[in-house]
Amino acid sequence: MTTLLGWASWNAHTGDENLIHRLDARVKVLCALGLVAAVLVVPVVSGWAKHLVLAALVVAVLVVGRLPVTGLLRQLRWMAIFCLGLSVLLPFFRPHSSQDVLALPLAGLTGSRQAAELILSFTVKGTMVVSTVFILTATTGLRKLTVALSDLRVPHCLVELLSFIQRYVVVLGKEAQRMDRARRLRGGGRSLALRLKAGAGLAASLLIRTCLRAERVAAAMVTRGYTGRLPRITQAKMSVGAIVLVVSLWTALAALVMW
Amino acid sequence: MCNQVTSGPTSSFLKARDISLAGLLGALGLVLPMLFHLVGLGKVFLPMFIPILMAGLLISPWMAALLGIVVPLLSALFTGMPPLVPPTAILMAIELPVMAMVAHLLYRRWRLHIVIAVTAALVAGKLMTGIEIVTIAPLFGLQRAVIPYLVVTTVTSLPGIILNIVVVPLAVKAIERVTLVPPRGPSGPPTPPSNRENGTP
Repeated sequence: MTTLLGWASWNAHTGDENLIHRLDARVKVLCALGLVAAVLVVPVVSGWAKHLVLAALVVAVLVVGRLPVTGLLRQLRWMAIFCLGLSVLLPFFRPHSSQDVLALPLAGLTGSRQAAELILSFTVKGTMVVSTVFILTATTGLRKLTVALSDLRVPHCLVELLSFIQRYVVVLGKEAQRMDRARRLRGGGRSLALRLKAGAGLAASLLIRTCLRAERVAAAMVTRGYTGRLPRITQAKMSVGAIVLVVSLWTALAALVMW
Repeated sequence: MCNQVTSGPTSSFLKARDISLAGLLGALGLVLPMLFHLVGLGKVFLPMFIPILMAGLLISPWMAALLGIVVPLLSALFTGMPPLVPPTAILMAIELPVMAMVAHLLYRRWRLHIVIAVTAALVAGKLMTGIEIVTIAPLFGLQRAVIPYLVVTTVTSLPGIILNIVVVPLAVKAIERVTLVPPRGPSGPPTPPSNRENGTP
């Protein structure tokens, strides 16, 4: 449960403060958007050199941010399994024409060149997008990200919803921790059946208690003058340096794409 | 999108209750799958569906739909599950709002039995998945894999479907008993729980 709470603070990797962590969250969001757009626009097979440059940029940020590679690999595992599965199925993709035939280095099998290129493109672009998203979330955390999205004029109800979700993850975790401690102090947890029974009761009770708490929060909001919109969370204006960084990165990415 | 309730003190409370309950169910939508995935049962028991279906039955349809879009994407961003690539998270972000809307429509507007509403919502969700797969599969040249894929995913998620049909109505009824959820139908102010328990309107 402690691990859950640690995760719930949404700052699992932000303890190690450095340049990337300290960067304005709005800058990180805008840079990540630019990078993802560039990755999606550049074709993989004909533009592999451009993808190498983009990959070098991602790796550089990963290294400077001192982010755990295990965390990234964990995020990439499902994509790896999916792409591996598609690669195994490659001999079953029928070529569209004689020019589309791809000789596979395995027992004289053939597959579709177009399908192979599609799988390669999917793998490369997927890896880059997931890595970029990982960097953004691991160095920013949900709270800062919510404030940044609010400042970037993302729809108000979405920002409100995100901030409520973030707070309730912590509330749920703490409430569950208290109830679990109480259960253990009363001697629960001898046999599996007893634990399952207690667990089900605990989950039901947790749900009701947190719903009642949500309602108390709503009542408190109305008492404090809530009329359907929370006040917009705003930060200080973006510094000139931050604007220059975003503009130069976007310009560099646009130049790379059009080159 | 979130301002479908008319103004007034009661509607302020309803809006506050909607956003507050949506936050809670969103948090549940992130925490539950984590707990299920810890024991490797995430794909079988569809834990993310439970809070989204509950949202569809308890709060306004637009807020529930927004929650259905946000939760899988947020979970994908922060925990890597469901994955962004392959685009499972994106497929779920289309499927879950449909489920929430159908559940709301059948239970709150048309006043059907809660079990029927939940079952129909799950069916609608599966149909949506089918449409998504039929659209996406040709991009990978996998037209022939559509039917087997749908059969396999439906069969493997059967325990989850059953769990949802059992748990969601029980949880929603329990919440309705103790909280100020407005009565079913297009409008109406919330009834205090003490009065409702006594049988008075």
